[in-house]
Amino acid sequence: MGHSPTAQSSNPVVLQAHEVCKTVMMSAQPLHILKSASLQVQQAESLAIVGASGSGKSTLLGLLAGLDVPTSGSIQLLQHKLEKLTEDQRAQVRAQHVGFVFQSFQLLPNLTALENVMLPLEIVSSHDVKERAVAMLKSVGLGERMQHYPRQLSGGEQQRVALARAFVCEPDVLFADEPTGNLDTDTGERIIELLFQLNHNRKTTLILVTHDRTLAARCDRTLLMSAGELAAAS
Amino acid sequence: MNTTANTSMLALALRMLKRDWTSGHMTVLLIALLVAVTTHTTISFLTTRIHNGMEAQAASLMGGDLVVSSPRPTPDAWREQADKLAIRHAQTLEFSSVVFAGDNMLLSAIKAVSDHYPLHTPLKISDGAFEPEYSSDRGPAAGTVWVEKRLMAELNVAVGDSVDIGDATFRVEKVLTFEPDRSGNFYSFVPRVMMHWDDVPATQVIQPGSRLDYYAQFAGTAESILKLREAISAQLEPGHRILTVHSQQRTVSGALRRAEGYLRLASLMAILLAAVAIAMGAHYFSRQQFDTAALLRCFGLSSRQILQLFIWQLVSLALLGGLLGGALGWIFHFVAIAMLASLLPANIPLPSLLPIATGCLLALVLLLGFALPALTQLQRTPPLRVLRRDLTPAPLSRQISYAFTLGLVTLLMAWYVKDIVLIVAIVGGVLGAALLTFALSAIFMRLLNVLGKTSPVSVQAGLRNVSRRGVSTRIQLLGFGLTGMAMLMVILVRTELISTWQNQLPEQAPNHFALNVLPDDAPRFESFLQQNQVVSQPLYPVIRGRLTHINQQAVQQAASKEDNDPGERDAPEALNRELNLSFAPDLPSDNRLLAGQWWNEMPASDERLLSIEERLAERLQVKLGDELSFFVANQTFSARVVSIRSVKWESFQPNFYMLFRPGDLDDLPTTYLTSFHMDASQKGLLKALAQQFPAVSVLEVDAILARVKGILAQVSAAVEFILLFVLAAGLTITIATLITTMPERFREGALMRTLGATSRQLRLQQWSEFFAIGLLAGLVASAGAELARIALYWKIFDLSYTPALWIWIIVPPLMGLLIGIAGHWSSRKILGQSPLIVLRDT
Repeated sequence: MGHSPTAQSSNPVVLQAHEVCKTVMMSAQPLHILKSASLQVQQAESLAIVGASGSGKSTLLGLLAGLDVPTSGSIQLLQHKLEKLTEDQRAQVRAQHVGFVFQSFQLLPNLTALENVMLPLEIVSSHDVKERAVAMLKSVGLGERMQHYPRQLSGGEQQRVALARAFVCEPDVLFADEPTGNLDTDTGERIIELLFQLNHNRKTTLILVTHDRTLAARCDRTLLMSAGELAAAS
Repeated sequence: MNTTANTSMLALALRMLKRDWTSGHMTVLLIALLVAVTTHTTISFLTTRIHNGMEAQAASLMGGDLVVSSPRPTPDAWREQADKLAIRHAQTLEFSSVVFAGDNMLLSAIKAVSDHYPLHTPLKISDGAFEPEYSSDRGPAAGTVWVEKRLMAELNVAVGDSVDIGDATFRVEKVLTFEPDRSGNFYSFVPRVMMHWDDVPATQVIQPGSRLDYYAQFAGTAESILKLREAISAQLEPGHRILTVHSQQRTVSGALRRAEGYLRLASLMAILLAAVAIAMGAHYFSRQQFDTAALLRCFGLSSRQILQLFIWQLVSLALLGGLLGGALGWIFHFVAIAMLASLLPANIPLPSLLPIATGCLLALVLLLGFALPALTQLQRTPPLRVLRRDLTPAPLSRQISYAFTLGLVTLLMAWYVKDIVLIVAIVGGVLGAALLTFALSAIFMRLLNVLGKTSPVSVQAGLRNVSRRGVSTRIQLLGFGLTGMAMLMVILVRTELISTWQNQLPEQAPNHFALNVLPDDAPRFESFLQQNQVVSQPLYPVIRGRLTHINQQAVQQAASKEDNDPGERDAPEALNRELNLSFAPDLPSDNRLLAGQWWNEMPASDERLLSIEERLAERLQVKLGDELSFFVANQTFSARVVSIRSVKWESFQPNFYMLFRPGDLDDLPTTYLTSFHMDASQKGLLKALAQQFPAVSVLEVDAILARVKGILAQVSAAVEFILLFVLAAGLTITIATLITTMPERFREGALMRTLGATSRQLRLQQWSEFFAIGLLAGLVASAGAELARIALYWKIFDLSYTPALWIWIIVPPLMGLLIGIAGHWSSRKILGQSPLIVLRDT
């Protein structure tokens, strides 16, 4: 089946998925994680994909971000057809256009907050790496904790570092996987606030996966993932 | 990839290296690397210097750093080349001649020496038979001779008297008491007369057909000597022989050869230990980097860039480790030299800085070779790991990885020791140990589980952990096992080397040889020694004879075969000189029968039978059943070779190349010889002995013995010192191994504590786990060491192998205990750490 939920505004389309399927073999039996999912996202739009645990929403996020390839179907991120690219070419696309925020923060424990934020800039060998990272950390309110290691920071602070790291490269599209999943309600709300503020200021396209209804409600659009199938949320 | 990108990748690598450094993930890798490089450079610097020292001493025994012997005068071109290379040189000529003093005459060993003789160690002389001795760095002046005391007694001359050699008359100027380069043939019993080189023509004793030994001696820097040696080697003619330390002094050379072998073994063991540690450190480091690699790929680095990044890190680390280890090695070697100062000759030149360069190279090879297989895994980290932490990169195929590592180890050893037998022995031992580890561990783990059933619950849990962590346990086993094996080998070989050396020269080692004991005097001579409580060997019959034919082929032809292959020769002078033939009913106690049968196992026969020493047999290509012909006192006779023996020449006991069956030499003129030990306090007996047995010549070898003992003491000390380094390396690596498995233990410990386990329970569990691992590693180590030792003893060290059963009993429990203590010590933090912090961190 599969809907093709489209956006309302007239902004250019930055991401388009067409009948994307993902099947893996489990004990010699095919397991269909995604069944013909299609969607379209426009520039500066925010899209939430909600669904129960195990519904396939993180798998879809990985495919949309080019971290994995679909079994069938096509995904176009900006002008790149992801399924036609090699892993290294997809890496290049990620480097140029994509940012990530994860449920488990994925900060490197042996790097300070500042070094964690500097890392993606160093990879694309930008100028003023340190200055930009410092400014970014200040903008998420961690100006005083830049030299702290992740283990010295609270969960909310760690996620703020992760947000700073995601936005510092000024990505065209930001993918977030359960960004509030590991946080208590209050902290989660503050992080949501920050995320949307940054998103708004920078005109970033935001695609997030969550089962947090409050978070989903903040987005322009919500899609519901259920047993590998995608539908427009009511 | 362009240069800018490369540069930025290097910059990123360096920044990451710096950050990883502060995190401590690289500590294990760097410590292992430092241990390896420091050991390598210390041992390289030290062995070079000790070696130089030993060579210098040995060179003084030989008379020069390079000595060429020849039956004819040696070409002046050699000396001109030596002058160009600023090499000092001297010439000596040795021949026998009768010396006359009035009506008395005596066959003497004449040595004519040129102006710059001696090149190394001074001669010792005295102004009269009973005057104190002193050193002299030149030989006698023209027109004078220096003579040994024995000659003065037999010819009844004193300092100032005249003696005649051929047509020339000389004044006896000094008494010669010590000659550093007197050839190692202890059986040359005619007294020495030393004269000046320029006086030789005047004596007119040099006639065609005379038996002459010319020696061209050279002394200079190692580098220049090497150049000269190459030049001379190209110009060698038949009859020329380059003498080396190894060819001249059997006792010294045996010790040197074994010491060199041992030092090589110790270095190799240290390197192998380091390689194991580096592989472990890299494995650990690599596991710590999975998330980083996934994140970096997520951020857009290609797999090639990831690999590049880590290679750059490794190269930088190698350089850092190489230089730092080199500097440490340089410092440590001074400490070692200071410790050995009393044993080493003064002013050994500083070694070159080459070991620092090879240390850096070694660090690079070790890191790239042993860490790269683990790090290539990072290159394959799926970026999706950022979403699914269960995704781990596929490791390099085990077969490829093992084959690569083994190949590299072999190459490393080939580069390092250049000794195929040693390499085969060690690779065999390591492979055997690895196979054993995997075969034994499965059985052993099951056994542990069965045994565990009756133990306390915590012990059961510990033992279960051993088998539960299958791969990790096997890696640890291999690490501990190889460490144990290396240290065991080094310790076992050292113990036996040193005891062999000590046994070789017991306190009561004979220090005198008595030659020319006439058959009629023999019983009286023996009782004289007994009465005076002199410890002596039995009297051995001696018949002087020349080997003329082998299977009816003249020996001179056999000899010329050798001359076609000039160079280093260990050939005894047996071919041209008279040999001491002897007979004995039984195999001498320090001889070993290698082939054939001893007389008592053979049926009676009329033909003459003989037993030949193995090296001479090899040189002459004599086999069992060959017929050797001898010329003795105007008669020729033949005998059949029925056995081949090994002989311990270094025992300072009378030994013979050719031993006959008793009765086979009965009709030939026989004298007897023996060796005995005489303390300094007994020296007075020598005079009485000379009076009662005027025909007997006594050769005092105290000086030679003292020198040999000095060298052996020095070598033993060097061996012991280097053992410390290998032990230190082993210890560091054991601890490094433990650290790499710590994160998992930390998490488990924290979980167990959260679930309510007491400290005692955790301790018991840790102990039983580590003890079991140590026990099994001990078994692996014992097996590996025994396997390698069999091969080593057999081929390299020339020691006879005896199984060391005790290691099987002592080593496994000992290693269990040591690993238990080390493991408990390194994981003691688990007990003190708040479980919450541990669980949050991991």
